[in-house]
Amino acid sequence: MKRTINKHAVRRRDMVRHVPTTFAVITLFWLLITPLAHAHGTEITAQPDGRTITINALFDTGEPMAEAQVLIYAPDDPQATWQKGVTDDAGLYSFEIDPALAGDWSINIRTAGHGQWLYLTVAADGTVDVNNPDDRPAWVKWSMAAVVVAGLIGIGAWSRRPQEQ
Amino acid sequence: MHIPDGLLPNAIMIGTNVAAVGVTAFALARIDKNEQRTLVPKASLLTAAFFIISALRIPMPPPLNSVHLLLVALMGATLGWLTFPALIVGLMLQALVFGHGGLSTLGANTLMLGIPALGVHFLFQWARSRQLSGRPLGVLSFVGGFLGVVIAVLLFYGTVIGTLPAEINVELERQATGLLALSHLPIALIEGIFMVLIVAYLHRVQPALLNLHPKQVK
Repeated sequence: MKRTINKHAVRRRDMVRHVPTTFAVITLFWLLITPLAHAHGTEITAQPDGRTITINALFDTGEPMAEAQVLIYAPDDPQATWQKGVTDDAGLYSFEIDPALAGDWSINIRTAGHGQWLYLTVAADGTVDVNNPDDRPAWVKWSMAAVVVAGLIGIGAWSRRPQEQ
Repeated sequence: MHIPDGLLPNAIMIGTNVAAVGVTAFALARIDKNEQRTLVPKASLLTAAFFIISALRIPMPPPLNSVHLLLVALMGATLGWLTFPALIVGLMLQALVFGHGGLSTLGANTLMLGIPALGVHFLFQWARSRQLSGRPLGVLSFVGGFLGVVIAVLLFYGTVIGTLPAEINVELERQATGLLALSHLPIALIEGIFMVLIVAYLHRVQPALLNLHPKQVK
């Protein structure tokens, strides 16, 4: 009877010992079969063409942020909205900037609790500089993610190492 | 389903960060040094799982686009109070690596997921006190998985709609957020089923991982 219990205990311990490896393999497999996109981050960019600014609002899955609200704040009064609008079905929204209002413009694009701020700088001569945030390529993000997962699994494995007597 | 930077008013942002740090400090203070050897691997593995799984999408039919698993119930059941530090680390890494969520909203997102996780922890403590096993434990696991997601989504909805700036079109935002909340019903069902399977497995091979009493193993 005692031998049977020990055998079960050993089997149980062996199964638990394989949990980190199993987890790593499943994660790797999932990464390979899942499209390299994650859910409900946003990738919003602005493209200037003379005075016209076109905002392209996408979820990071590549799908457009349709009917997202756009709130534009001019540098002369950053607390009050200068213009409001809604993106179209393709996640696009265009507006004309007032070149007389030189300085930093802020644009908030949001829908369903997801969104982002964009910042434009209009120079005195009317040229527009767009500060598009976080344009790291997907492979860089996923490489960083792989390092993070490996690090966390490593911490777990390290803390279970045999203790010196 | 993470709130990004810049969408919450300053008072809410500061308040939620202070609250999350307080709860995390309380959780860390509760750790028994003798348990560190078992708790650290559990916490780091589940943080890795949370980090990667909520960054992978599950496609949904239009117009819902996609959703992701939350793992709220599994973290609550296995980590208890330690869910809060695990969530803070996982959410911070998601914000830095994927730009998913935000650093200023770390507190709000931690509370949004940590509160239901803690609820699941108490549910499993109750299961332990009643020495539940078999089908009752399966039902409880499903309820924990399902409600964990539903409560997190309700907290998200309440936070987003309750803090809208005056200049926003409230009705449009309410419709969009409501649709997003509804799209999480399948996720709640999936997490419920996932919890039934994982709890049944862990209960058989390693009940200590779920803080269930070893005597319950049959």
